[in-house]
Amino acid sequence: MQYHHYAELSAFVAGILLVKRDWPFIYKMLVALTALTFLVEISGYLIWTKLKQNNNWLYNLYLPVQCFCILYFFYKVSEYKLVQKINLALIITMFAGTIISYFVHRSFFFLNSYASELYLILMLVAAGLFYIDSIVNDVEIRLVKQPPFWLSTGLLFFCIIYILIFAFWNLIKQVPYYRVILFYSNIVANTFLYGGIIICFLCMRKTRNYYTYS
Amino acid sequence: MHAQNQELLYVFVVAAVVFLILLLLIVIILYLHNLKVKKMNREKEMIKTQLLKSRLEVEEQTKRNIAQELHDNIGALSSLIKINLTLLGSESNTAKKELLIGESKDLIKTLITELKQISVSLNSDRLELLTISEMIMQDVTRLQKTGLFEVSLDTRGEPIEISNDRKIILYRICQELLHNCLKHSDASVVRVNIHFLSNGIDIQVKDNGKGFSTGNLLVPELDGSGLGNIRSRVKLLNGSFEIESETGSGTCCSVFVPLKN
Repeated sequence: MQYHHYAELSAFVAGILLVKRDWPFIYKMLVALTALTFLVEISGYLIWTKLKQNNNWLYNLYLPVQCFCILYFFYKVSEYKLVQKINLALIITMFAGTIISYFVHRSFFFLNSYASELYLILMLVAAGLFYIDSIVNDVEIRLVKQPPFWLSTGLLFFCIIYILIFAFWNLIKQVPYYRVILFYSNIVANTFLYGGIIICFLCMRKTRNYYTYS
Repeated sequence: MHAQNQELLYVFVVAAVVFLILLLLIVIILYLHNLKVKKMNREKEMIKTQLLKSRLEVEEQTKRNIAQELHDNIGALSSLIKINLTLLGSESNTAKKELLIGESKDLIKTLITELKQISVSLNSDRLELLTISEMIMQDVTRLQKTGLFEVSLDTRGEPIEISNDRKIILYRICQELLHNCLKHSDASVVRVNIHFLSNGIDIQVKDNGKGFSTGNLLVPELDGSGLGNIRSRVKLLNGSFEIESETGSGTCCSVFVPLKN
């Protein structure tokens, strides 16, 4: 197992231990997403290392699910009507973009990098929109006590790191020790995302009267 | 190799700058949000204080009304009953005795009704059960009883449910406006119009009294009619308050309170 597997597993375990029956659906969905992420990542790892087979198809299936869940999460937590509409537009763009990307990237067995980049950008926008929403809405709870704040912060850094990697990929891959760069970038990105998710669960557990988000 | 390293350094610098900008933005957003939450809490506190003040004032007004009722009605009725009973003791004519007994019975009946009304008005929870127009109607009826001027209440539109807190504050505003008519206007006719709109409640209190120059309202020292209080209450309800008046041609005070705060 690699570092990010531990991060995903920790987020899933935290979710399972902290989840309560009265939590809104989107938070339960987030717990399920961490479980799915761990399963996909570990399966992908085993397919690649043990079976020596291509695992890209698995990510082509998983990434749209992950993006949809996160966009849907932010769509549901947004209070301000305009932000909600933009989030809905992001979900529609995600579906449309996935279909369109397969016209450019014809093979399902190689990672659809167009779609992956689109998902990162969409998630980045959704995470950024949460901050705008928090400024304009009337929720009286401090931002650090709001569970979605932690997910959006983690996601923001996660997306930025991977967008930078995609953007400078041609340059990075020329460096002899590029795998080391990727390894550490991966650690930082996953720490942000799964750390954010874990704090989001902790915050949700602690903030009992967080009635606004349902 | 050297060029490659330089390009890589450039990537790291870009990444670091992006990270720093992001961090800075998050800190700014946290700060702004914190300010907003503090402001909202302050406003909430102000509403609480104002609500408490309004409740106390409403209670105080109710006590004054009851004292007046006791003095004017109950006192007068009791005196009449006492006179009747005294006359009854010295009366030998049976027909006259029966007349006095009948009259006393009617007076006691009226007295009981008045006392029941007073006991209802002493119940502090009763206001929460009434609609805003019913609450104002009570005051209008009381003012009608005084006979100082002709008062009428006109309600238009479908009554809207508003929270008890907002209702109390709005009621207190109307009480204050009616009190101003009573105290300062020298009017013979007072009209209260309540208009329930789709987006809020519009209340007008008009009188045909002596009026005043609205220019005086700009000087806070001259504003001894509680208009400052009304303004701050209306502001708390996110509403608007307007006064139209001219010396000798009456006054019209309009309060608009939106449904959502």
